[in-house]
Amino acid sequence: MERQPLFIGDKLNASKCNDCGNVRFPWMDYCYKCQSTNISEYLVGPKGKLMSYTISYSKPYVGKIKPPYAYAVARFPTDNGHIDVFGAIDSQEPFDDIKINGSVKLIPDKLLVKFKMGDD
Amino acid sequence: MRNVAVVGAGVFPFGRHHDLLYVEMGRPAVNEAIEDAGIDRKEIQSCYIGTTGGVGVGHEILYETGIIGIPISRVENACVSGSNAFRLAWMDVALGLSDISLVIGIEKMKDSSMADVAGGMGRLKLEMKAIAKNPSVANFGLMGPPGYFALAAHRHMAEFGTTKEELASVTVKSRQNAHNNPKAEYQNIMTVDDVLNDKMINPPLTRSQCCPKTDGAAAIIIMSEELAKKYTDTPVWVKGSGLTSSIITDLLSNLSAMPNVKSSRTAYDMAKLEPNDFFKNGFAEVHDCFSISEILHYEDFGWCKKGEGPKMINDGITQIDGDFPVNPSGGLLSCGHPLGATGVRQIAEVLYQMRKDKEVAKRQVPDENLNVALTHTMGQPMLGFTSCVNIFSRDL
Repeated sequence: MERQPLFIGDKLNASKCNDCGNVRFPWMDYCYKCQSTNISEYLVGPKGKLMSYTISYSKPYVGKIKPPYAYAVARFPTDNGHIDVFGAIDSQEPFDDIKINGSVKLIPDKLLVKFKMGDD
Repeated sequence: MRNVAVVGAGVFPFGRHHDLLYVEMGRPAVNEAIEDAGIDRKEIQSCYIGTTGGVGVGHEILYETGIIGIPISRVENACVSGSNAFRLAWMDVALGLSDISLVIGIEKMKDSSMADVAGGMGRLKLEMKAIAKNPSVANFGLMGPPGYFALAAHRHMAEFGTTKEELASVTVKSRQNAHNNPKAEYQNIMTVDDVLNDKMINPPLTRSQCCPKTDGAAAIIIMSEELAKKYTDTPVWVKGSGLTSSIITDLLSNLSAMPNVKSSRTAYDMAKLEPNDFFKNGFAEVHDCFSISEILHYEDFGWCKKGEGPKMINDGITQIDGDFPVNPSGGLLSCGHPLGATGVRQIAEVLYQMRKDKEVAKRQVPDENLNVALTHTMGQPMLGFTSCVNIFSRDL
């Protein structure tokens, strides 16, 4: 399987199983639910909902984000449900703008999934 | 498959042992287990050791305890290593390959990082050049286990109205039990305020809501039914076991961890038990790596409905004198969590409790709860996510 980019334009580069409909991100050429290899490209986002967040006060094992930083799980609608995606939130101390169940928008990046709060 | 019994156990005190080698913690635990089982060490026919960081230490421990020339397997499966080692030993004896097997769990964590102990840092070094170019992996490096559970905690609060005081109460219960466990790392009583005012790790989880990195070792002796009846009047029988693979993203899907649900269901079915059979009948040692974890386990194991985990704590159901005591030892939050040792220590606790040993007199589970017991560990081997549940009974 060739490596796939995280984003295509401003959307997440997910994959969809043509047999059972399961959507998976990051992109993968098989379905972990039904083991099918009948997979198509499926783009997700850019608008979603913040499901949860926390703050890290120490530096990450991988990546160059400086602590403290906020990270989160956000939910993006698909045509048959939704998928939950982990990522960093573009925010600063005291992180007051972060609201669970609030709207988020994807920020395209080569190596990292990032969200910003709000609709724009 | 043959019936298998746990017959002996030894636990080296969990805590801070900077000056001790692995073997210096493992040897006393093994000797204690052999003495407790009342066997001759020459009768041990196989060994399984659960450890993530202890490369080679199984061989050293066997050599230094005079057990030579038997099959030994080192089992690495993150925080599940000890439970997994036990499961393999059980399979070994159940299949008749060995009549008596030794299970060791051991870890040294105080002097290094979690990533070093669990092998993650080693793997990152091996994959360094590849990871820099592979976005599917890079994103996960932002979060360690406390982060994932902090996300689950905040979501549980948003979805079910769970309060930070309810989360802190898990630690309060843990410390109440550990206060009577001389082998726990933290034995101090804490109040809800003490827990909430502790250092913040990943909001909403404060330090005392996160299990400490700990040094420690535990060992148990298991044997076939035929031999168990010869050696003891108080065997503890293995009734079921489940082990499940997954990846970490499963943790947050509907606030349920698929591997925990599946491992418990597999073990329940094998043991012919249902979740309700533990109330006024059993007890459990679950993987309370974080305060929210214990609440999620209550829900995933079917002991309450989704969202009602905090009620189990609020109503005192899982206290030692409640209908269903959970973590009478103090669990991971207070005993500490030497990765490979935890799953084996939990089984030692089951044996001590069911035999009503002096060792646990001050934290003894009531008689009516000594019929069945469940042990559980879950782990995050890098991007993986796994869970092991073992079930025991006092009567065959």
